[in-house]
Amino acid sequence: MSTEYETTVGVEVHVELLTRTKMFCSCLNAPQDVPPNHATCPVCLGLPGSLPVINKEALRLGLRAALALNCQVNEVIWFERKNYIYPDLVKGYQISQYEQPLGEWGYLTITGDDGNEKKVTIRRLHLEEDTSKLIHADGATLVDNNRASTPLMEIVTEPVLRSGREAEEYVRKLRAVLVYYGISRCRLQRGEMRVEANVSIAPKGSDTLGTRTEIKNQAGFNHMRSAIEYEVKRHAEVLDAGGTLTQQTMGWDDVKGCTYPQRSKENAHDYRYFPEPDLPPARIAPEWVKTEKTVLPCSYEEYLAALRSQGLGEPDIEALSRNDALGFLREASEAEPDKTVLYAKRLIKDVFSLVNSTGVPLDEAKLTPAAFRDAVVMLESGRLNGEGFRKVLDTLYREGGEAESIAAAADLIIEKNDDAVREAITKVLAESAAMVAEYKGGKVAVRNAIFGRVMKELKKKGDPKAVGAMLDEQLGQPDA
Amino acid sequence: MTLTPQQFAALTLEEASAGLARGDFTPLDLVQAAQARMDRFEASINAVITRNDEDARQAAETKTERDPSQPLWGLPITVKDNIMTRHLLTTCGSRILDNFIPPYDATVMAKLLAAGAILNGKANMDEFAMGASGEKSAYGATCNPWDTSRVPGGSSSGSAAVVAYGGALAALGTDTGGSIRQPANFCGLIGIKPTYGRVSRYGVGALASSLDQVGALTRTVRDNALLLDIIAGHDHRDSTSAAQADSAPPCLPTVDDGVKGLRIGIDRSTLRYEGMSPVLAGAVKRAVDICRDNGAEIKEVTIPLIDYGVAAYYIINFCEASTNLARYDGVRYGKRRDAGGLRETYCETRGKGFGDEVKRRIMMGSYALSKGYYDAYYLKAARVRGLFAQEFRKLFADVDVILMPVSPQPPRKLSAPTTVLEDYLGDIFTLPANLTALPSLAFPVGVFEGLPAGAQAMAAPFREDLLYRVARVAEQNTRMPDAPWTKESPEDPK
Repeated sequence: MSTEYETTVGVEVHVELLTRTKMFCSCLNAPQDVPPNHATCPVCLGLPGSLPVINKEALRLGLRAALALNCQVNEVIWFERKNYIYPDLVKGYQISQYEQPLGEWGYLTITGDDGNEKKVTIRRLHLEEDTSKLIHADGATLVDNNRASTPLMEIVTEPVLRSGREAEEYVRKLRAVLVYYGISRCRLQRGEMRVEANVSIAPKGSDTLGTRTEIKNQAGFNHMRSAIEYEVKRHAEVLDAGGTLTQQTMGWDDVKGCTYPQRSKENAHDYRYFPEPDLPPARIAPEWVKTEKTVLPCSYEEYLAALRSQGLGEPDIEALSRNDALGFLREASEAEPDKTVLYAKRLIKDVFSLVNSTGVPLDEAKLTPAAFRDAVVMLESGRLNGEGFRKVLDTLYREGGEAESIAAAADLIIEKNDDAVREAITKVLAESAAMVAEYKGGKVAVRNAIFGRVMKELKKKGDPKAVGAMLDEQLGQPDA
Repeated sequence: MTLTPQQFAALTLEEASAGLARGDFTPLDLVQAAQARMDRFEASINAVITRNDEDARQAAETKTERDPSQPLWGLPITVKDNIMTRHLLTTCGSRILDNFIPPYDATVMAKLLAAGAILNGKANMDEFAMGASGEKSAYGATCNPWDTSRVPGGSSSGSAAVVAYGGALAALGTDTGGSIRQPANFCGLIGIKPTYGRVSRYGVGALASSLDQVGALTRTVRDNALLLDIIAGHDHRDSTSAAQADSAPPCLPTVDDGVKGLRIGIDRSTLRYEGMSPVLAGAVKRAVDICRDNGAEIKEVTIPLIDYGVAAYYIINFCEASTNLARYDGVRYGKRRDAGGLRETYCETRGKGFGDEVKRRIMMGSYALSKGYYDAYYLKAARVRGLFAQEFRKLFADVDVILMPVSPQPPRKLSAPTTVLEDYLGDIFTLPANLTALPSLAFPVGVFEGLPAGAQAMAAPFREDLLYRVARVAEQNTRMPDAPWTKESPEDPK
């Protein structure tokens, strides 16, 4: 009988922070939105004499993540140089954190394989800078430095996950939380979130871990899970056959459904970490942590619970999650939390249809939560009708801007002037004597045609309900 | 106008500025006179890697209307070649950068230009500021204008030599362990290593980031104070720049306040230090005497830990240098030597691009930072450094200024046989200021056996003003006969 094994998985996640500028200079943090090497300066190119300056917004987002993941925040943090030479590393070292990371010993709760709540321990959370991008083409290697020194956050768990399934749930949940708090967009296809998993197995009850293999840069969470499950099986087979495992980095071949050893560029690397002398230690003042805690919105879990308690159904919640829209919704409805469901419904009905029709996901659209809120408020107060609302949203989604000015520019704001409406009705009735006569004669269906003429006269800016009521008042009952 | 090159060479910044104000001469006259000096001296001194003749002339020609708000208006100044200058070759004294034209100005360079100065050249230096003789430049050794058979000191070798022979009115250098003060002293100049953080390091090719500081080399104390006041100040681009740099007292207004009542400390054991030249010890005693004669209170002090300085300093220097220089790989800028594969290209580029001293420090620094050695070397050195800073600062509870030697030996003969260790030990008196971040200034007190000699003064952080007061009193009591700036040519026997 073969030995019974226990699986141990640890996960290391890198996410790009959603800051305006880079980690240590004021270049735009938009590596893929400008031509190669256009978002660069002496600092992020590592030119002689240039010096880094910490981006406070990156620090703030890191702090936010540390709090969201229940980490202890170190009051004094510093950066180290991680030394290695490679063409994608402009200074020959990466400014990273080693001894005193921003956050330590946090957790994220998932549902464990046994069905119970499980706290996944997060050992450390630290900030660093990203590397440049190498493009291999026609036998040459090109370097695009737009990504050089963009802010990166690394989140490392303890080896406490027990299966590919638990690992997948952890990274999915982690992603949802980071997106919800606006810390990162975590778009996998853009490399904004990169996952590495360490896998090992050991005989059940053993208190030492087995030899681990590392699975790098998976295209999707399900791939990561498959790769972990495959590795677990492979490890067991090797051990059962009396073989030994070697510590190495594996890739995942999704077509063949198996892992394969990857060429490793780092055999027993010594990064020669030492404190970055160009950056004095930074103090994360307790007052700052306190302030950040107070402005931190309710947790992801609490928010989901609140949505459910307000009566939002699971399909709607699922749609919001799938579109990474929970943070958007929370921000939009911040001022009127009791109307969250109304905002949610509008978001799902009117905004998600734009996601489909434009092909632009919500987090890449120009529509901001504030603009969306303003448009909804205009609709609710009757200053926009349904059609106008959708037109305004469409413009906001594609071009951005403010709801009020877009509505005004497109002449969509509903006329609240009763006199103007009455005037229009009087005018239309006078011009439509024949139709009025038909109506009076009992052909009540004509009323809708007359109503259409009134609305046209009002250039569709009338509030249909109010206009209808006033029309009916002036029209009176049919004679018959 | 009749400004001869020789007249120009003897001008101070203040005199030249006054001359411009009076209309005695124009910026173009100054620039051309400086160029004539370089024409005459460069062949034998080699103080300048890149002359900026054409741009300096054009800059001078555009300066037709004197702007009294610019204290350096129209004055030709040279900067060390590790200070980034937009559109002008900046080599750091190394082959690996022999085609590097920076797209930006260092903060200190921008400040000089904003003050109206004219950049007239990039000064020679030991490669990446590693050296104390000026012989370790990839662009040839610089000679001492006082005695061309001797070294000018280093690593700001060219900055010192060009000011000493009068090719520029003043120069900027950098000091990591004495690289301004020692050559200034070897060339009879005033050299300041400001408090760490008082002057921005942005745009200065780094040797050891936690030790490097930019400072001025001038022929007079007032000129030096004037320049420091201009280049100092907090810089948001340099995270190690101090907020205090903006609030510290300026230096020029109090230069002439004298030393009456100042408490000046001297540790006599430094004058008897093993290998200490009696002549140089005598120069320090003379500085002490001048201070006493002018009303200062002289106090005996014990300078702590001096024997541990060299080891701690060099470990930190090697470690920081080894990673600061990792960026010179030929991928983005500088001279690339393609050799097939990536690894081969790295080896060829760095193997041929760096000189021996640079490679030695990269290797030793990489070793000292390696797993298993980090605690024994880097960490221990960092602790010694902490202790050093603590002990040195205590001294300033009892005294305002400490006087000590600049270096144990006078400038040696060019190419004289020395060991690496002997070279490193020569920094013993200058490196404490870098380890402790304290300000320090070297000043001459006369000419002995044909060579200038002087002393070094140290003060509490941001008290450069006190250093200048001491140096100014010494200057008023010192003659510098037969200085090279008074000579017609390097061969002039006068």
